[in-house]
Amino acid sequence: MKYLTKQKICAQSLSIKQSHPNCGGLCTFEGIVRNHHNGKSVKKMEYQAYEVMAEKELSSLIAYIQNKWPMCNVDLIHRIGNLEIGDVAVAIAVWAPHRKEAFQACEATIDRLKKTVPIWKKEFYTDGNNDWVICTHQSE
Amino acid sequence: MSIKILFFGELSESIKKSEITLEIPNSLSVGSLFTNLMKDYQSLGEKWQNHILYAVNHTQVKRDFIVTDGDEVAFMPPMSGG
Repeated sequence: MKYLTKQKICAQSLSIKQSHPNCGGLCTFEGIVRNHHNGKSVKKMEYQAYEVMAEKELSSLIAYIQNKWPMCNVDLIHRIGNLEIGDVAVAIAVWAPHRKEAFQACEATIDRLKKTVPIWKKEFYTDGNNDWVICTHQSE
Repeated sequence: MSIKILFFGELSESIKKSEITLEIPNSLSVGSLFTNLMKDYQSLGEKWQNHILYAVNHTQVKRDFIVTDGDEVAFMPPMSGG
């Protein structure tokens, strides 16, 4: 697996891997497991992926972003399996010559990832119940 | 012809299956395949009919995509990564 992992992740592990002397802006994003959702108290999360397709879609996502912002360089990693509160679920790093493109491309990367990459998450609540997170707007 | 079908997320959990292999006599669209399979799970079929996403051989397709022998079909709830 290249873009999926069951190990702990962070954006810094991405940003120190690459050097782009022509880029004056590095924008990183970390999606973190929080302890609440829709008024419910969350204890932990489980992430499941259609791994072969997710790897393919994440690779396509990077190509899409770098095609739309040709001066940008993008790297990312998404964690799967069991995550605790505070764990990083997804990390993205975008290098660009200027900050505006770095911010734009980073936001577009996480927005598109949520719509195109076959990953699902299940929340486990402190009251003992659990539920899959459903984003029905994405099927529109 | 033989089709491998994968289920994910809440859908997989609801029907207690993550993978099946199906022998079908004729070419079918992925949408028809899903409708036929969900006849045994009526309430689930109604719940997912308008939200389910389809993939064939790791590429997302529309519900009228026709499957062929040996295809790997995935029925996927709306994605929620990140």
